[in-house]
Amino acid sequence: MKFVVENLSLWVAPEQQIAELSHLNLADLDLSWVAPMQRRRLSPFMKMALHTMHQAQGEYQQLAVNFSSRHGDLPKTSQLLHSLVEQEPLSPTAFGLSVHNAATGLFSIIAKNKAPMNAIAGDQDSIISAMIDGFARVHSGIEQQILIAHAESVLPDEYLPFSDEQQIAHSVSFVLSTAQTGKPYFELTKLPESEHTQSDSCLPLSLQLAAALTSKGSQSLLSHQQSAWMLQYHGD
Amino acid sequence: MTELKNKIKQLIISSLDLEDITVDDIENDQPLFVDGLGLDSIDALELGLAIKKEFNVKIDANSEQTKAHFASVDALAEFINQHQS
Repeated sequence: MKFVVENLSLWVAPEQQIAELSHLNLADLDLSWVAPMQRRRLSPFMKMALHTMHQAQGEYQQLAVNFSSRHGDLPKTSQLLHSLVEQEPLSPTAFGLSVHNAATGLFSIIAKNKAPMNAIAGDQDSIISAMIDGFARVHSGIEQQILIAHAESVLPDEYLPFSDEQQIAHSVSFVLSTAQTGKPYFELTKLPESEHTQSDSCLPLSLQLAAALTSKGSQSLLSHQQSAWMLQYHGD
Repeated sequence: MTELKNKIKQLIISSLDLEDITVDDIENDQPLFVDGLGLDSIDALELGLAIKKEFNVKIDANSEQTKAHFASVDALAEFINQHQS
């Protein structure tokens, strides 16, 4: 898969800055483009997702979106599950905004972007799944560019025992298009099982990818327990 | 009645996350939806739930009268006074 990436926007919770990304100057959350009456309903998950989506959209107007998240707005879902256990009625707002495509729906409404949007959950490879689907859409010519957006919260306390990667609240978005002859591009290849990491403390793949896309090293290994990928940068 | 109205205003602010609004910003006879405070249909559901919980009153979601009861803080106070069990 050969592709071009532009407008990469990354947000990491300020209290969780990490060495691999310390070379990046991350902008503060900016939601000033969202009307206050809409902003009041946004959870921390939704805020970081919308922030990087908006930054990455840049000058593009009607831009297709593939949003991915491994767990979605799990802090919100977890609160809803608590309400069910307590036999309390569910908050209609929380319920409506806990669905997996809520971020794309809100982005579409607020940014007045009517292009097709997908919401994908694909385990630790979620962002890769969003890219593969997005690549198919730009490669076939259905879209010229596609916004790839990913957001992940820290697992709520009750789920932490199942954690198999570093817990970092973050969001990353960028615009993906097909490689053009004579211009720099990235290439992503799936690697055999022997390259998988065994570590439970690897960075989430979306952050490994963001680091590799910004450092533009000629070869970057992206891996977790279930799969491994090689990202190559072919410069000028 | 003033106490009940203030309680309703507080509930509107807290249940609908109206971060920048205080009790003094909401007039008793101000329309809550669309014009006035600018609440929408999701707010109506959320507020209905909060009022049911806080004041133990039954609200019929499909009744035309319900719309009238939610018109303003005055109307809500009247409704809660009549229906509180």
